[in-house]
Parts: sequence; structure tokens; C-alpha cells
Amino acid sequence: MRTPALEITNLGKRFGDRTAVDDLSLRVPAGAFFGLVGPNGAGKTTTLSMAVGLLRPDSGTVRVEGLDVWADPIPARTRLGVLPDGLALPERLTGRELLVFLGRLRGLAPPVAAARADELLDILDLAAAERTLVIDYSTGMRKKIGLAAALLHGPSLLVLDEPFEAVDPVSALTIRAMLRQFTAAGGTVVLSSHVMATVEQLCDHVAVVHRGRIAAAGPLDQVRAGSTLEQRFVGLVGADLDLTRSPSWLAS
Amino acid sequence: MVGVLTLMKLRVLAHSTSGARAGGLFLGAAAGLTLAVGTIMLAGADLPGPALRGDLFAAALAVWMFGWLLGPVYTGGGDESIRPEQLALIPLPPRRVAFGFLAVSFIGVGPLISLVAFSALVVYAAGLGLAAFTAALVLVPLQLVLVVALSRLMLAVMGLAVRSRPSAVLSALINAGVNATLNQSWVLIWAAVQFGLVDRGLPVGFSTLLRVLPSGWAVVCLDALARGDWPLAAATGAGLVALPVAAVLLWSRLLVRRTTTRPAHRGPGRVRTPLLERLDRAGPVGTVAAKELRTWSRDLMRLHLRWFAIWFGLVYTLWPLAIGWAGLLPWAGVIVVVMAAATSANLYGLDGTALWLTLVDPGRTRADVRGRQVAWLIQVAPVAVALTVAGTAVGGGAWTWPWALALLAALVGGGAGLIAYTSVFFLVPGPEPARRGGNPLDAGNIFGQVLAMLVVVPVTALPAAGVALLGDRTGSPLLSWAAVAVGLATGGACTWWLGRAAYRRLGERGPELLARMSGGGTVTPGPGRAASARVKLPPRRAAVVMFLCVVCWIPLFPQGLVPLYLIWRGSDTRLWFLALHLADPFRVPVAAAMALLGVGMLWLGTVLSRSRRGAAT
Repeated sequence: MRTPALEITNLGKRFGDRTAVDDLSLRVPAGAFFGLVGPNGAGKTTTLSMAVGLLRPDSGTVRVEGLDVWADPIPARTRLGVLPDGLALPERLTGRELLVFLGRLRGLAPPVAAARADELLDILDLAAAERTLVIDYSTGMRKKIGLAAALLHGPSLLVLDEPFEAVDPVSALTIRAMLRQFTAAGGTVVLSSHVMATVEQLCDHVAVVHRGRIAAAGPLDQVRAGSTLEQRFVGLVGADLDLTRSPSWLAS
Repeated sequence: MVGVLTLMKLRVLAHSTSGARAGGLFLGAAAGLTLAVGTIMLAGADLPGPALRGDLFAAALAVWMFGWLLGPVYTGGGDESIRPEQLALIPLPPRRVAFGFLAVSFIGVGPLISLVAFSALVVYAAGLGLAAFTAALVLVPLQLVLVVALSRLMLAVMGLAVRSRPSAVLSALINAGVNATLNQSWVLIWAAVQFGLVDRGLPVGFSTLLRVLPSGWAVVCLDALARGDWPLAAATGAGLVALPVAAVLLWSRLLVRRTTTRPAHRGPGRVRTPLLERLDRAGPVGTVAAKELRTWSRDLMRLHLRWFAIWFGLVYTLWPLAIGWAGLLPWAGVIVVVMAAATSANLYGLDGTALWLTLVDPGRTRADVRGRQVAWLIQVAPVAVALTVAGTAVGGGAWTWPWALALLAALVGGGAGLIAYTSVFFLVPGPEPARRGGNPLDAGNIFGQVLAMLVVVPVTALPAAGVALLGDRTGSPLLSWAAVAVGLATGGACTWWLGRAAYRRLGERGPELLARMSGGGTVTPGPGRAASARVKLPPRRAAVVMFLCVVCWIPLFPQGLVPLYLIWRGSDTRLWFLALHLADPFRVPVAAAMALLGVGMLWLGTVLSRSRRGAAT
């Protein structure tokens, strides 16, 4: 059996007196298309930030392809492609400049960095906005340039926080196709999303996070257990659904 | 990696140079070069005592170092054109990243001006023999590396310190304490000059302290070389290499902490706050004031700025007690008010694009401005009054009471008016509070604003001061106390009138302000947009403008006006002034041509940045 692409063991994080992630363990097999779902504030983003080395955990370990992310971050980072939440970007660069500089900082030769940047801008339909600074990008364009930055160095594990949020339908289809090809070629994708239909269509493995813990995890069909993912999700997080409620003053 | 980071920063700077920014650059470069030329002249000055030149030069170098250490902390958080967070995912060892960031720190106007200032070391060594002169050539860049490395380390320490409430207050105390002490040390030097102590050099303890500080090591090294004291020269030289290296290694560890931890924000406590509850119920103005007060206590940067003002006033006035003089104590409150106004003059910038909330609620602009003024008054006035009353009771005489109270009244009102006015009319776009990231002190480029406020706020006290002075001159206590009434009246008028101007402007130009804050021009394409500071120059023209405004000062001042002045005074100093090395018929024309060249470059730079702005309308 191959080394898991991502292995999270007993991860914990507290902010003040609030526990964001509570002794969470998760194993993402190599080659998987893994979906992470959960209600707002469940700890998805905190978990992913700790998994990629952007937020120091209070306890637990994270391994990317067997390499400890916190004990020895550099080899793990070369294998990781990350689209973080609320991504910090150098705002006063154009998309192309940003990609070329990041590529060169990652050790790509200048012509290689330039060629890859061009290709990514073209695929993600950002080439038309060549003269626009990142600060003037729309929310969806920021997502796409962030995704391009994550793909630039040819990682083997992609960790994407809400990659489809605010992205237009055509670009979303392009990104899906690209990610499918990536996993077909042996790469691993971990993404978080609130859109159950997207997760059901794309992912072969899912995990439901609730209150900083894993409520259920495994192959998609096993987690769905004969029902839809949405129904399972509502059942797992114990939401008390009352679809008749609405503010009393609204349109009455 | 250094090469890539350098190119990256140059691109970022090229995309950011706009008309308004170039204006700020002019002012900053002019002020900095004046100081640099002053340092050079001090180093070459012909002073009575032989030790005195070294003492004063070491003092000037100490001022440059503390300027680098403290300047960024309260003028917008330093250089954040490339942030460590943006490179957090790049697989590079932290040490390489730190050295890379250090290297790109040298790109900019500040380091260039400092390099000019530190070339004073060569001037200083000119009379100290060949060994010292040669060493000085090496010490000039080392001195620059030293201050820049220490500055980056200091900012990283402060940035991490301002991550919880107690440490935000404590770091404000340290920051304000060092600042106030530095200010006061200049008063001491002035006093020493006044009382003729200078013939024998500065007091021994002070002169030793100046040489123990890392900023003075280069002077110690040069003096040691002149004496032939090789071990001491070698030790200080080695120290000047080792200290920056140690600073950067420590800084690399802090960079990792910065990118992998988050500030602890505090939510509401369990204790009830009657004041806030009463404000909440007191109509729209009260609601805004309550919101602002909550923000002042929960936003770590605002908390830090507020306590900085309080500590500065306290330390500044308590310091002379060391020599048994309590005469500054009555003015603690006044100083706190001026400082608090200077650091609160970008209220809307600090909130980021949260301004949209006000804009979508028509008719709320008046309450929004007035509420912010009320909150500032609640924050500042009671502290200032308490400090003034206590300080005057302890350190004041009969004549100080009307003065202190009159100035206080005028400044509290003037400050409340000016912060509203400046926040709206001279908004400095800063990062969104949620995106301040690893540098809680990153407040945008507010340096010019802080300086301007420190000058303008005291102006609002002139009428009250005039009446108080008249009272003193005529010996009429009635007139002296009338000054308090005048202070209250002008203060009230400033608060009312400037606040009104602010909310009217906010109502008329709200969308433009929002566009300016978000940095994008997408909110209101139409007239007014072009007036915003974000009209971008094409890269090549921006580079030319930048070059012109950075370099024009060299022909204008050190190569033009200063030599002319020296020729007029009949001085035979030559230093690095080209014109002074020439024979006589050419000295004046060359210096004048240099000055003209400088003016011409300045004019061209302004025209280039302006014509673009005109074309965009």
C-alpha cells in the first residue's frame, strides 16, 4: 500500500477558550479526490491551514507523503500546492508577474516560469486581464490566480480551500476537468466545499467535520450509506431543520 | 532568491508610484536629505573641544539608529510592499528568506538617504589618518546594514508583541518611553550647549553611553584607529558585522512565528459596561460612539496607538524629575491630546472598506462622524484632564493653571475636529483589518499624516494661548482665566465646524472614499475617480518620476545650495561638494548650475506625474 498523501494525527488547536480543532485524525490515500465538508465554523479551514504549514497546531502531527510538515517543512512544501483561505497576495503585481516571481522563488528557470505562467493564465481565462493588478481582480479572479499559484510548481498533493467559491460556471468546469486529469495521473486533491452536489460529482472520498472532529470519513458511497450526501450531512451534524421559519417582518 | 525578490519589489513599487505618493516622496526625501546634510556638516564641523565633535556625531548617529528602530512602529508598520505571508508556502529555509527580505529592505528612499548621512563617517575620518579613512569607506555600508537589520528585527518583535491586549499596552509603554527619552536627551544637549559645557565635551556618562550604543561603534572604531588602538578597532569592527547577522538570524525565527500564529482577539468580557449600554440607547450618535469605543478596546492596533499617546505624555513630562525639575508635569495632558490626535487621524482608513455600511444607510453620515468624535473625546478627555489637574497641582505654579486648562480645552476640541476632518479629507488607504495579517501595526502610509497633525493640532490652541499671554503681560488674572473660556469656545467651534465639514464631505464623496480605500476603481467609474491617488503611471514613466524625485535633492542641496552658502560664508571646507574643489571663477557658476539642475529635475518630476493625472480625467 502506498504512503497516504496526507496523514493527520491527533491534531488540536485552541483559540483562547474556544477549541477549534479537537484531536482530529484523517488519512487521505494517494490518488484520492478528497472532499472535506462541514458547517460554518466546524474547523475545516483551521485544519487545512495546519495541514499545509500555515498555522502552528497546539498538538498532533501532519505528514505529507510521509514527510512531517512541522518538523521539516521544506521537503513537504515542495510536494504541496495550496489555495489558502483569504489568500494573501502581493496586490500590486499583475497576474503574470505574480506567477513568474513565485515560480522563480520556487526555483524554476526564468523561461520555464514564464511559459508555465502563460499556460496557466490561458487555461484559467486570465490572459485577457494581463495588464490588471491583482488588487483590481474580482473575487473569482483572485481564486483563479491563487489556484494558478498552487499549480505552478507541479505539486503532487493539492489542498484547496473552497476552490469553486465565486468562480464563474465556465471556469469552474475548466478547473474540474483539470483536477480530474490531475488525479487520473496519480495526483491527490483535498478540497473543502459547501456545495454537496460538487463534492458528490467530483470526490471519491469525503470527510464530514463537525465541532472540530471528524463525524464521518471514508469512500463517498460508504459515507452516503444509500442516502444523498446532503441528507447524511444534515443527519451527522444534528441540525434541527425547520424549513418553515423565516423572519416575521420580512415580506409580510 | 535575492534577485527575484528585488525584481518583485521594484515591480510592486513601480505599480504603486502615483501622483500623490510622489508628493509624499518629495517631502520625505527633502526632510531626510536635510538631516543627512546636517549630519555630514556636523561630522566635518570645526568645534572647540576635540572630543565634542565625536560626541555630537555619535549622538547624531544614535538619532539615525533610533529613527530606524522606532519610526516604522508608529508611522504605519514599516515596509510591507512584500509580506512574509505571501511567501509562506514557498519551500525555502527561513534564514534565506530573512536574508532575502533584508536585502530588499535596502531598496527605497530611506536607505539611500541614510547612506548619504552615513557617508559622514568618511568626512569624520578625513582628519584621522589613512587607516581610519580607509576603514570609514567600509564602515559606511556596515552602518546602513546595522540600522536596517535592527529596524527589521525591532518591527518583528513589536509586531509579535502587539498580539494580545496586555502586551499591546506594554509595548506601547516601551515604545513611548524610548521615544520620549530620546526627545528629552536633545533638550539635555541643548542645555549643555546653552550652559557652555560644550568646551569640555558632553557629560562623561552621556558620551560613554553614546559610544556603547551600536550606533556609536563606528565612531569608536575610527577614533581607535586614529590612536593606533588596534584591538579596540578590530573588536568594534567585528561587532558591526556580528550584530546585524545575529539580528537577522533572530528575525528569521520571528518570521516563522509571524506566518504560523495568529493574534488573539478578545471578544466582549462578562463584565457589564454601563457607559456603553447608555450610549447604545442614546440615538444614532451614541450607537456609533459605543461601536467605536468597543473597537478602540478590541482592535490591538488602536489599543496600542491610544496607550502610546498616554505613555508618551507621561514619560516625556516625568523624565525631567530625574534632575529635580517638575515644570513639565502640567503639560502631560496637553501632550497626550496632541499625540492621541496625531495617531487617530485616519479613523476611516483604519476601518478599511467597512465604510460601505455607512454608505448604504442614507442619512447616517452625520451620526457616523459625530459618534466617532464623541468616542475619541470619551477616550482622551478624561485622561487628559486628570493628568493636567494632577500635573499642575504637583508641578505648576499659580500662573500655569489658566494656561494648562486653556490649552487643554482648545486642543481637546481642536483634536476632535481635526481627526474627523483629516480622516475624511486626507484618508490614507490602509490594509483591511482582517488582512493586516502578521503585522498588527500595518496602518498604511500614515507617516506624513502623523507629522502634519503634530504641527496642525497645536495651531488650534493659538487663540487661547494669545489671550493667556495677554493676561500674563497685563498682569490681569481675569484675562488669564478668560483664556480658558476662549479655549473652550475655539475647541467647541473646531469640533462642531470641522466635524460638519467632514460629514458633509462624507455624504457627497462617500463612494469615492470607498473606492480609494478598496484600492480599486470599480465602484464609481465617473468624475472624481481620477482625483483619487490610485491613478497609475505607466511603469517606465513611474521609474523616471521616482528617479527624478529621489536624485534631484543631491544637485539641489549638497551640490548646489550648501556650496553656495559655504562660499558666501568664506568657509574653506570642501568635503564632497564638487564646486568647492574647483578654482575660483568656476565655483559659483558650477554650484548655481547644480542648484538649477536640481530644481529642473524636481519640476520635471512633478510635471510628469501631474500631466498623467490631467490626462486621466
